[in-house]
Amino acid sequence: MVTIKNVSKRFGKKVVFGGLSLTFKEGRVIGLLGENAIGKTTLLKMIADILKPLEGEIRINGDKVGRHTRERVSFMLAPDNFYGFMKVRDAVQYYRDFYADFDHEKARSLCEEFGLEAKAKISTLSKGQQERLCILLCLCRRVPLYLLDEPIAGLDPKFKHESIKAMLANTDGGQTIIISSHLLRDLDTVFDEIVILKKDGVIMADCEEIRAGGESVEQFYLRNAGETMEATA
Amino acid sequence: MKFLENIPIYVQIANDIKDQVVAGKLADGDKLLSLREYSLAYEVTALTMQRALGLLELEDVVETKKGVGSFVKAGTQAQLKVRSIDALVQEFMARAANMGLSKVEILDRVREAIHQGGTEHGDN
Repeated sequence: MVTIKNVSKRFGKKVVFGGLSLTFKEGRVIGLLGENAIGKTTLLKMIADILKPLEGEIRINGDKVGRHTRERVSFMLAPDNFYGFMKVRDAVQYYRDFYADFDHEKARSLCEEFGLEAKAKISTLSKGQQERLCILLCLCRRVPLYLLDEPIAGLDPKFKHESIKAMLANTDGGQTIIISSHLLRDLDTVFDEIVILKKDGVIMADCEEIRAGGESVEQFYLRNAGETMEATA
Repeated sequence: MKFLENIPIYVQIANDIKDQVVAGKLADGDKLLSLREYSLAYEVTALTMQRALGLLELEDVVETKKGVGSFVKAGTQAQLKVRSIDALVQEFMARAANMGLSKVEILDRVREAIHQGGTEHGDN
């Protein structure tokens, strides 16, 4: 589905990736894990064509990422991507205007389900509600690839649960969903695979295979995320 | 359903469905829910649910008719009941032995428990 080949990326002097290669398989829900500032968001943004790699290439179903792949990718916007004056209704309309694949009816019913009032100003919503709005808008596009960057960081357990259910209800196994997170606990049962970004490479593993080895996904992650003792420059 | 962390989820789901058959919630010949319905009910991905149903097919508990759905295979209920009772007894025996009980002692304790008016109406 998504292949990343020899991708490098730098911000100023800070090298984020120096020749990263990996493949995200189709029809999977994949957890993108790794320490803070390891490059999870950068990677998602490169797949979404929001950032460009310095070297290497990223392909979605064989096509090089660019303007024409954008319509196949739904990247979750952060709450601050919406203007302060916008109401829930405006955000829904914004998606409707921008994306032909947006399922407006679905969005409306999910807003209702999530207790998001159409006339509420986004800036006055709680952080959790803002995030829920962003998740639901992202999921209401009909595309083969969804990218969610730390979608549930600010949610309380009940909202987390609802958001996960909404995600499952919205997909049928044909779509690929990549979710970056530093919280494994609430999500590991809905990850088919995890990808751990590390300073010196990347680890991919099938979650069921990890469990078959008698280890929890969290234990596996902690064992492999590595070098946390090193000072981060 | 709350899953154990270090056993594959698809195995736990397959076991749960087998438990439903043993408990009579699903009978021989019954149609199972669709993959999608199960995936929502258990809150797992379609892939995990596919694996669970695949395992049940492999174990001859379920048969899938193309385009129609999956069904509990004939004779499954009786067979599973025997299997799960065997497993229960074996586990009980092993644990009792671990606690240092002899076979005679185990038998005595079970008899005692029954005489004390044990559960006639198992609630599972």
